[in-house]
Amino acid sequence: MKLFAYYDTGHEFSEEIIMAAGFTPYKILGDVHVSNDPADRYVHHYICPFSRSCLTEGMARSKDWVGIAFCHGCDTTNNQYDIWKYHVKTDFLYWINTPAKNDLAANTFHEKELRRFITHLENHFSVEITQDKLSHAIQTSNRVKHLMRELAALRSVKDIPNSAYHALTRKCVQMNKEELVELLEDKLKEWKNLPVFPADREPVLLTGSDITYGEVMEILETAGLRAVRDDLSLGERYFAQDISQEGDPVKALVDYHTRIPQPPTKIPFDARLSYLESCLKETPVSGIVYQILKFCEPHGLDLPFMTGELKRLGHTLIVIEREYTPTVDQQLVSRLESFREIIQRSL
Amino acid sequence: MIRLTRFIVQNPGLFVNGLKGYLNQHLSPRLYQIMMQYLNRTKMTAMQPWKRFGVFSAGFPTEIPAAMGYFPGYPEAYAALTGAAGCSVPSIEYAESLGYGRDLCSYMKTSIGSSRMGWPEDFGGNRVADAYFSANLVCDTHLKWFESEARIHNKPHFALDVPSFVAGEHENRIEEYVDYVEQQLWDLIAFLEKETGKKFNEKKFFEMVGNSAEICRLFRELSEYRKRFPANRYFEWVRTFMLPMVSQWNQKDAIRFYSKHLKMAEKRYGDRQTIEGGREKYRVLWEGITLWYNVDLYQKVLADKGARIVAEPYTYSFAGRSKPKGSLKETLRQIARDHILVPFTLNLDRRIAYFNTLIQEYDLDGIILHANQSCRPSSTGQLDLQEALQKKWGIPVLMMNTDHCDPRAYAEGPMNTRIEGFVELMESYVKRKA
Ligand code: SF4
Ligand code: SF4
Repeated sequence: MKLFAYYDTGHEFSEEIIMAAGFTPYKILGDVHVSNDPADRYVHHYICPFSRSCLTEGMARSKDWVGIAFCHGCDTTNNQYDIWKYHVKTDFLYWINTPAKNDLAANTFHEKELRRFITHLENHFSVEITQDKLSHAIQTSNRVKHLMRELAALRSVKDIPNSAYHALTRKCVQMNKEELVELLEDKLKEWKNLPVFPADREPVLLTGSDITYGEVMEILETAGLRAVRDDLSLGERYFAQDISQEGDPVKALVDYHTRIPQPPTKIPFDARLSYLESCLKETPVSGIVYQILKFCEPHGLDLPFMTGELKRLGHTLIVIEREYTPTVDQQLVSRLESFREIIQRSL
Repeated sequence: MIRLTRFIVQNPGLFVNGLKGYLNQHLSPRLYQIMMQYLNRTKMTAMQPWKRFGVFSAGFPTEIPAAMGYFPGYPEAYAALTGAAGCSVPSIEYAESLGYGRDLCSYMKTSIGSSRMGWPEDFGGNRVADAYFSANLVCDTHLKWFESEARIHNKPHFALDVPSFVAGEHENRIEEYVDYVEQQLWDLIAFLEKETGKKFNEKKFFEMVGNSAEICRLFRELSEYRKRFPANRYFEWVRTFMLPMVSQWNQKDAIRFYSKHLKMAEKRYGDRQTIEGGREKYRVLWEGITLWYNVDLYQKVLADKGARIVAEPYTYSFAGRSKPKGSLKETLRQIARDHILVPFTLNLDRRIAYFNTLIQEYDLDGIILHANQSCRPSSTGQLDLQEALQKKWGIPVLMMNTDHCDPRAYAEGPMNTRIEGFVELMESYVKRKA
C-alpha cells in the first residue's frame, strides 16, 4: 500500500482519513542519524532541530510518498509549511489548520477542515472516502489503540525495556495498520511471558517533548529508570482514548481529538496536567522525568507552570534539556543516576 | 507609585541607567509625555477598582474589550520600554531562574521577571489584571504566556485562535478562516458580557473601531512621506512613534497627535518628492522587531555610514485596522480579516511579493533581516526571502542574528564588521542601480 506522509508535531492528524482513502499513513519523524545540513539552508539553526530533521527527510524522501499533509501544531509547523512548499517536491501538499482551542467554535472549524481535506483527497486521488470506509478505518485504529493500551500497561509489571516500547510507538504511526495489528498481537503474547518488573529499575513517568528516536530511551535505561507512563504523542497520547464508532465518523474524529491527552500546543493547558495527575494516581511511580528538546518552544513555555504544579502535588521530578543527537550523553546519564539515587533514598 | 518608589530604593543604579536609557531615545517631549501618561494610566487602574484592567497580547482586537470598559495594558509594550531603557537583563535572568529557557521570547521573560520582582510598568512589570486576552496570530507564545499569567492570578483568560493563511492557498480560504474568527469574536462578546454583567456596548465599540481605523489611516499616510527624499522619519523615531497607535490608550489624543504630524509632513514636502538635502546615501528596510536596547545601532552605527532605515513592515503591521462596516456582524468579520492578513505574519508568497513592492516604492538600497533568536515565528522563512530578493534585484541583504530585547545576544564587534561589509555591498549596488 502506498504511503501518505504527514507532518504533525503532536497527535493532531486523523490517520483514519488516509486509511479510508486507501493509503498507509506515515508520520514524518526525521532521522537523528542524518545531518540536518539540507534543511539548515532554509531554516535558522536556533529553530527546533527535530523540525529541521523532518524537513531534511521530506526533501530526501518525498518521492516515496503520494502526498503530504500538515497539521497546525506548534509554531514550527505553520511557519515551516511554506518552506516545504518551496523545497519539497510533491504533487500534493496540504495544510489542515487544526485549531488550538477545544471549544464548540474550534470543533466546528475542525470538522470543516477535515471535510475539506476529504474532498481534496477525493478530487486529487480520484478516490471515494465513504462513511463505511471511514468507519472501518476507525475500527482498525481502535484495535491498534486497544492493543497498545494493553501492551503499555505491562510496562509497570513486566521487564520491558524502554526502547522496546518506544519502537512500537514508532511503528504505530509508520506501518500499515493491518500488519501492525498482527505485530501488536504477537508482541502482546510475547510481553505477557516476559519476567516481572526488575528490582534494579525505578518506575518513572516520562513527559515533555516528544521522543522520536530510541537513543533517548536508552539514556533512561542506562540510568536504571523505566518509563511506565507517559503523555507523549509517540506514546499514550496516541492510544489513550478510542474513537467513537457511533454516528458520523468525521464528527467522531473531531470529538476524539478533544478527549485525548492534550499536547502543550493546546489551550487550556491544565488538560495536560489533569492527564498527568490521573496517570500518577493510576500507576505508582518513583518520580517524573521531564525532558525538553533544546529549542522546543511549547514545552519550554509549559515547563515552569507544570513543574511547579507537579512539585506542589508532592512529586519528585527532574528536568533535563537534551540535544537532538543519537549520542548517549553521559552527563545526562549521570544526572539521571543521581536522580535515581535521590528517589531511592526518599522511598 | 509605590512600586516605582520601591524599585528606585531597591535598584538605584538600575533606575539611573534606565533614565539615561529613556533619555537616549529619539523622543520628542510630547511623545515622552504620551508614554508617561500611558504608563501612569495603567498604574492608576490599581487605585480605581471600579475600572477594569485588561492585559492584551499585541495584535488582539482590543476595541471589543475596551468598549466594555477594559483599559488595555500591553506587557510587550512595557517590556519594549524596559529594553529601550537598557534594563531588561535582570528581569530576563530572573525569569530564567524560574525555569524559562534561554531561547524563549525575551519580551515574555522581561515581563515575567519584572512582574515577579514587583517592578513597575516603566521597568517591565505588569500588575494583576481583571482579565487576560491573547491571540496566536503571530506566535503560540502569546497564548501560553497569557494563559499562564491568568492561571497564576486566578483570573479569566480569553484566547483567540487565528488560523494561518499559508503559501499557495486560494483566496477563498481567507473567508473560511474569517468564519472561525468571527465566531470567536461573538464568543468574546459573550465572555465580556458574562464578566461585566453588562450588555455589549455597540455604540462605544463602533466609535472605538472608527477611531482605530482613523489612527491607522493617519499612520499609513505618514508612512507615505517616508517614501520621499529624504524620508520623513527613520526607524529610531517610528519605533516609539507607533506607541499611541499600539497602546490604544487615548484614541482622541492619538488622532490629534498623528494629525499634527501629518500636517507637519504635508507642510515639509508639499507635492515635492525631494526636499533640501536630497536622498539618503543608503535607504534600508528593516524586517523584524527592533533592537529595543540598541538605538545607537540605528542613529549612530548605521547612520554614520549613511544607511537609514526608511521602511519596516513591523511598525506597519499595527496600522491595518479598517473602518467599521454597516453592521456588528460585518464589522466583526472585517476585524477577523484584518487579523489574518498582517505584514508581520504574511506567508512566504505574499511576503516576497510585498517586499518586491517595498523595494520599488521606497527605492531601497539594502535590507536587514533581523534573525531574532527569541522570536522564531517572525524569523522563519527569512532565508528564502533573502534568496528571492537577491535573485530578483541583486539587492544586498544583511541577516542580523540577535535578539529584540535581550542585549546578551548582541555581539558588537562581529556585528560592526558585518555592517561594514553590508554597507560596501550597498555602495556597489547603488552604483549599479544608477
Ligand atoms: S520538538 Fe517542540 S518545537 Fe519541535 S516540533 Fe515538536 S513541539 Fe514543536
Ligand atoms: S517577540 Fe515574537 S515570540 Fe515574543 S511575543 Fe512577540 S511575536 Fe511572540
